Amino acid sequence: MNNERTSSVTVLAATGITKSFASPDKTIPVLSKVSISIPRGDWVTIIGPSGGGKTTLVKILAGILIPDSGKIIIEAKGEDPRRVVAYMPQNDSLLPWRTSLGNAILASQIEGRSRKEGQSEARELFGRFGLAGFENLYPSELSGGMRQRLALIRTFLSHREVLLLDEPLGSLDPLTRTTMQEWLLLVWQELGKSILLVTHDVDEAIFLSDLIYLFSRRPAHVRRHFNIELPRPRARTAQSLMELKTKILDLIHTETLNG
Amino acid sequence: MARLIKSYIATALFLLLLLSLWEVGVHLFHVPFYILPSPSRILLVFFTRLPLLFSHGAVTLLEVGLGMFLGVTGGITLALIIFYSPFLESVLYPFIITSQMIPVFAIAPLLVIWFGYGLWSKATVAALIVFFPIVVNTVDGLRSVNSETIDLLHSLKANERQIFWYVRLPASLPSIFSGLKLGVTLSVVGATIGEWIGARKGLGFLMIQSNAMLRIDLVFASILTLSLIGLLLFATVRIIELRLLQWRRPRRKPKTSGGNH
Ligand SMILES: Nc1ncnc2c1ncn2[C@@H]1O[C@H](COP(=O)(O)OP(=O)(O)O)[C@@H](O)[C@H]1O
Ligand SMILES: [Mg+2]
Repeated sequence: MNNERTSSVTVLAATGITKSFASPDKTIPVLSKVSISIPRGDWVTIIGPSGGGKTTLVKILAGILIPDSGKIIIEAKGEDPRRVVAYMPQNDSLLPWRTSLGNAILASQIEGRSRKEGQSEARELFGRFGLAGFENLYPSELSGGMRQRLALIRTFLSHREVLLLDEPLGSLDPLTRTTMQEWLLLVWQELGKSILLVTHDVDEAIFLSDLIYLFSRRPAHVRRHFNIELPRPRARTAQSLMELKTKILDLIHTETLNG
Repeated sequence: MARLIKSYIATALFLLLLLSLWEVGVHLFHVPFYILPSPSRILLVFFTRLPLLFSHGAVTLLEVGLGMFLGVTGGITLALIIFYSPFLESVLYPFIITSQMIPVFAIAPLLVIWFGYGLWSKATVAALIVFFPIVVNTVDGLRSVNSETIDLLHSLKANERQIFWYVRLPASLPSIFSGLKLGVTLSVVGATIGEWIGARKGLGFLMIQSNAMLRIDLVFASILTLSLIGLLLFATVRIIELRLLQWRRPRRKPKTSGGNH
């Protein structure tokens, strides 16, 4: 397992992103000059209050929404810049009429790659994600944890360099959640992707990330960012992590109080 | 499974009881067969006149089949137009909704005048009957797609055609099938009424003719044949539905451990 921070070359960055939504009577500013950057191969996490605009930013990064102003910079290593980013929506968005395997190969099918190839690739990940034997079941026949893992497999199989994971573990119970965090970490280290994770769980963020962005309430801007140099695997109760946790929680707290 | 068989048996027994009461009643009160024939007499006529019923039934089945085909393809096409073109939707949808208030059966006589005594007038009645539930249900189904799913497909750079085949169509199949199941039974009624009004062949025509000759047993045998046709069509739709919508019947209960979805 390698934990060396390979480089600090940015693979994906957002600078000065502003976005508001028009509702019938007024416009709601959601993002206000947000700038973040994701170094290649790193794990970056966004924490912020719910309703603050995290999903909106992720959708802008995924190319689903257009910002009102600001720029998205994609450092594509020769490939099509529109195929650098993969997006895992906040709910798992599995297609209920497709089997697990069918859901996993969605991206490869859309790109017109051979079905056989896509399937054998998927089967391998099913094994690694503890879903072997569940290939032919429908999502409704899977448990919550399995569905999340399946959605992750689908995201990995899109072969994009940067994975945008919007609260991927949000619907899991705490026990499954910690197991899944370790899983994700392993897979990330093996596959060498860059990850942008959205979560509201401070423990999750400090356990996983190289870099944490703390977002303000709506309209969101970056309040602070924290680099975590600690090698992995990390002890969840390590002194420095606990200090960082206290610091972040305090910051969140002061914002709530000064509201 | 055992419970299902049990409920089938119960239904069959109840039917048998009703038929027995009918049989006994007819004999007990000496009801003449040109008023109400006994079930045994109807069955006897059904089997002895099977070739006749079959040849008329084939005509009705053809009318219904053709009508359904036209109604379903036309209905889905219009639904797609409405779904993909907001302009045409605003023009067409009010018409479609209000035209549902006109009972198709009431305009059947006109259709016979316009399309003649043959196959086409009845097929048109059947088609119009299937058409509306299909249009409305297909539009509903196409709209039922979750926007997050569409976002996901967009992030994977799927084009509109792929989004249609991978997401919109499968998502709307359940409601298309509920429209179809509603339409299939009604369209048999529609074709029969068309035949009452004017036809040279078909079970509706046979009923009118037999009625005029006081062959009420043959009227009942025709009704029995019509019911069988309705049943056959419904079962066909249902079988296709079960095949295409396998995902809606989980074969295995989700495990409760390891997640709380
Ligand atoms: N398509 C939209 N139209 C109008 N308002 C929206 C839309 N999407 C999000 N919003 C609003 O933007 C705000 C931020 O939403 P979101 O980005 O989902 O926050 P988060 O993911 O941090 O919980 C919310 O108040 C939400 O109501
Ligand atoms: Mg969100």
